[in-house]
Amino acid sequence: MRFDKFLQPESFRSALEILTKDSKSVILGGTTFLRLSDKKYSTGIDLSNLGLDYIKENNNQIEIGAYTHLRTIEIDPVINKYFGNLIPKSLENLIGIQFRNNATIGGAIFGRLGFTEIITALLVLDCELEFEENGLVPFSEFISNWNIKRDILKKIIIKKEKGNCSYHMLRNSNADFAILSVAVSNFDNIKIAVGTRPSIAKLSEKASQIINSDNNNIDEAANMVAEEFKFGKDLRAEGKYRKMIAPVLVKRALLEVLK
Amino acid sequence: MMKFKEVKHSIPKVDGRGLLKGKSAYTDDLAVESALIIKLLRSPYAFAKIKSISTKKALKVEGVECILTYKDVPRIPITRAGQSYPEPSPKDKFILDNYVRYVGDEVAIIAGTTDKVVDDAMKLIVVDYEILEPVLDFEKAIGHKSIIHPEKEIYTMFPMGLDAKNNVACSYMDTMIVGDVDKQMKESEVTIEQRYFTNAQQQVPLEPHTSTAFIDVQGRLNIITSTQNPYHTRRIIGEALGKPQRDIRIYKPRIGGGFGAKQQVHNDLFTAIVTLKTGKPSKCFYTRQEVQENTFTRHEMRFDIRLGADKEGNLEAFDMQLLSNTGAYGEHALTTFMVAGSKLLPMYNKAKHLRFEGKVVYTNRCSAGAYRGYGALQANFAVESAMRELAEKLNMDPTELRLKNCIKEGETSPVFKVMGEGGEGIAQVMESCKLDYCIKRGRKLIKWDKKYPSKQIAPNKIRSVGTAIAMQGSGIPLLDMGAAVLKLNDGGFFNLLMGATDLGTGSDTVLSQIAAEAIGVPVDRIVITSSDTDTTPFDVGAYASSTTFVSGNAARKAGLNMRAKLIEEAAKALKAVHKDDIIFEDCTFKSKFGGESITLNELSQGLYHKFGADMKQLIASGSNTSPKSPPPFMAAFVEIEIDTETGQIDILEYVAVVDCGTTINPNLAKIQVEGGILQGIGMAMWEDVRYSKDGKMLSNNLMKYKIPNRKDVKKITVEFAESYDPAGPYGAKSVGEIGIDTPLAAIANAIYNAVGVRIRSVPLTPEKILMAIANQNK
Amino acid sequence: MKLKLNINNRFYNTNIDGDESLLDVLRNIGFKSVKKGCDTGTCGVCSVLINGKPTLSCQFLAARAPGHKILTVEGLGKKADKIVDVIVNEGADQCGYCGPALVLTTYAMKKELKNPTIEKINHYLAGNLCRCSGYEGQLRGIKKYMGVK
Repeated sequence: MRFDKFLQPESFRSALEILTKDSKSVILGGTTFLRLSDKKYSTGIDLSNLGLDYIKENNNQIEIGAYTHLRTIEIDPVINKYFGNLIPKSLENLIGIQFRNNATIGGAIFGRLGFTEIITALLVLDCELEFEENGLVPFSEFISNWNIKRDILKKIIIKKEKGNCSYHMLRNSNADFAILSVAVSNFDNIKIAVGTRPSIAKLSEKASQIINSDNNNIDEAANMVAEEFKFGKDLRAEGKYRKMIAPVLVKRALLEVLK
Repeated sequence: MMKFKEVKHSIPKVDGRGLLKGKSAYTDDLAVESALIIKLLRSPYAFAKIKSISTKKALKVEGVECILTYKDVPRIPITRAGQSYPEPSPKDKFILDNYVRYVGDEVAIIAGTTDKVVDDAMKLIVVDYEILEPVLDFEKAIGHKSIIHPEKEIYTMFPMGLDAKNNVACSYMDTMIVGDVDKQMKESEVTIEQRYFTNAQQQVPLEPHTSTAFIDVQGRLNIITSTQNPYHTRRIIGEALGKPQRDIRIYKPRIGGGFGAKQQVHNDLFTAIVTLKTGKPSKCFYTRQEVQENTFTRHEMRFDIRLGADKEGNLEAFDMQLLSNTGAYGEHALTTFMVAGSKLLPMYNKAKHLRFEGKVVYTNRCSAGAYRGYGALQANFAVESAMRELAEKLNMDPTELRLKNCIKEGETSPVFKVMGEGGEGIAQVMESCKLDYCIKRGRKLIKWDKKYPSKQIAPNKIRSVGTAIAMQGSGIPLLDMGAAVLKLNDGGFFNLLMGATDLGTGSDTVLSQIAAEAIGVPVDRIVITSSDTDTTPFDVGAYASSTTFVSGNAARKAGLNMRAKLIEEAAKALKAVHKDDIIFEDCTFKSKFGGESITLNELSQGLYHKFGADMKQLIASGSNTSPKSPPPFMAAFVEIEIDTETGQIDILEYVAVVDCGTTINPNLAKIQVEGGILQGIGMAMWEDVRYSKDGKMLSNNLMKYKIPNRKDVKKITVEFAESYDPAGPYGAKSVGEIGIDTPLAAIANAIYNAVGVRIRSVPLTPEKILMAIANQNK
Repeated sequence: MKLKLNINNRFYNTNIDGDESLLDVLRNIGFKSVKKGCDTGTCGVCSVLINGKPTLSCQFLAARAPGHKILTVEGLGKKADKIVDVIVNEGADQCGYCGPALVLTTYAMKKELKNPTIEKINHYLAGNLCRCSGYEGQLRGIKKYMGVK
């Protein structure tokens, strides 16, 4: 990554103006993955002085500012109070704490990169994103909708719900990217997300239908996951292997949330 | 047991505190600020010929000082291997050539004032390539229609079977034959015949290869570099540039790990030529991508193993056929290959019918070179896996099979004489060999009797144990040479000048301890300076497990010589005392009959200030090469837990019992073994050098190539056998490589013991394991 | 752009490019304890403490640094000694290239974790790669420093 100008706009509005006017400008998050590209930008837009580094708990929801570091979220007492260890577990294997002290939740989400495990985890929660231009967008819509490209992500809003959550993943070595990640929540009904396939995480429709129709259908639902999703290959594993282990991880997660 | 005052004691490394507190000590820390930045334009193709190249536009970028292509550099074939002369590697590399032989091969050298300037200039160099069909599969290299080295100039310094038109870098046939393997295989009651593969591996020293050069006031080329062998580097740079060695100085400061990666000469060639052309200081700091793609990997190998035994498990026939992949250039092709045989065949010396042969081929891939345990590690996977397969057929405990067949103290093997590293070897008898003890002790530590072969601990979880044994060498007999100089100073302390190269292993500390023991002074009286071709004596460098054994003996000899000189001068100073009657203790000389004494400090003062006509500089030296290379031995045991539904493995504990003779510094010896084991586990489990179908390396950074972190292995336990080898300094043998050899086979064997599947290639990924389990259930 | 950086409790005026990493800027100023190892934020040898938190200086833009407190091993001074001692007493310093970052991260860990388990220690330090030691020796030393048996 290279850029010529470093700008720290004083408001989201002026940041958005720069972003929309100059197609070669870029919002700087934690500059963890951005800096790995050899792209040359005109302007790097830094919002780290706009107060986006926070975790707030309201009556119904938790709000996380887009510049909050992944490590802060991982060890935050509020986050750890809800959803079991769903969120910390989806973060704790990303390289090391020095990395997660740089990487921001906004960058992790906005990049929509396939290996981002926190996306798998957030998919099974009732979660919304607040943008400067597009306003409130449901998380799952943002993940599957690539129309939102030149906008500023300000915060992540997670609805507090009661119930069990479970997170399972499989990786070769501890600090490698996951071969597969699975998140399951059981609030009003059961949600299943399967990620790092290696493409970006998605919510299950068929498998969750099966398990929600009868909570005893664990094996059937787990096996449906293998049929429902497409599994691809990368350096870490073949699609065939991912397909074999997806039902295993989903079954383990279902057993946990149904306990 | 022998009593020592300085050796066999754990003291902190002499440089440890300084390094941890961040002192400027590595090459990049020492480079001058004004040094030109050097980067390389590299080939995007696996095999191509440069039809034309234009640097015109690039040279116009402000701040660019020089751009060199193959037209601008001497065309002298060299090998970058970093070995003794004459090198046992083909001379098949030019600084730059009009052929590029792998993705990343150097096309142009660009030097400029800043990183950005050089990056900008690089994009403006225009190259027209004629793309050629690459040879990417090493099993198809021989007789491929593409010839990787068509140039006429390449040669070898002695016959090693170079056959460039068939892409053969070297071959070794019809030589290492004892008895009649084929006949015995027909007669043996139980036989094994299997094929095994080992992938390449990256050394991954955390400091990337770094070199900086400048011209000194005498007009000589100075290079500060992260090298494992300054003397070979000086010779190779001289050869490549057609310059006398007299005009070159190489200095190795602290270096951030080597493991073989820095035995070869890489960016020194570029800093040397840029500084000579421009007269300006220059610096080349490789990116991690360059370290991965453009320095050397471990040799990829294919083994065909045949074992024959009688029903009682007495090994009778041992046959090893090997194909090795040296990549684009032939550095270490022959020696790595030979070590695969010479470090395995003698370990099972009960077999009377032996054969070892094979070929090393060129491919259009990243060159292979030195990496800790080279050859031995690959062969260990094949042979130690095959031994487990044989034990299964014999229905015998694998540890009993090994105890029955492994080499013991006082024994020998015909292989030592037939085969060395690069040529014939030298016969030797094992004066120290506690391998049988190591096996028995390790078995106890891991609780083999309770845990072998496996135990189901949950519906989808099985715990199991596996084992493998290994031997290495201690330097290359009568080829590796190291020297030491000791200088007494005013103040009663000594400079120890060593050509030997500390890579972070702690050899500076170990050598200081040995010299102190020999002189009979505390180690804090020694100040070591090492690895400077102008001021320290010759040493081949740090490779082939040689420093403690080879250079250590040089330090011991220099110390003994210094002691003799000190006593002689003390006798003179104490007048009327014969030197044989002098006792030197607690840094004080006195007569054994009592009377006057003189301290070491007083003696040094006298020699440099007070003794009038008797004033003189005391200097002693020692050189060492050895007709022996006493092998260290190790028995390894691993306990794993395997998830039978996913194939995932947890390494619960790795136990090693090592016979490396006397441990000069037990802490440092232990860390050598622990570090080696983890690198071996890395290769066994996760480290995977991968290429695209066009020959581009995909695993080219540390996000894609995963070395172990501290959560990956639960526990490593290392113990040493009480052992003393009379050939070593104070009984020491080597310890640098022995740790890395066993994990591949030990873990593969544990997997077999858990789920009954045999994986004959590494890495042992959960995917491979689960697929094998699935196939087994079909 | 001109910046004023707070490094080891002293202010340094420097002139940098907006896209420069804190790592390059620190090394240029003369803080050579901060190493470059992998270019992808994976190895940890460039770790510094930013407001007390271990952070990869290769990823952190120097332009963002004003207003933050940067600490390197040079600034730790004598406070590093206990950590350094437990590591060198095991011989686990080895090549030393990962050393300064390990010392800093351990220092931060001691402030952050109370009575950690071995698993917690290894988790905290997982981003500090070492290729020499096999980690066991470092753990033996750091356990002593953390008061863990």
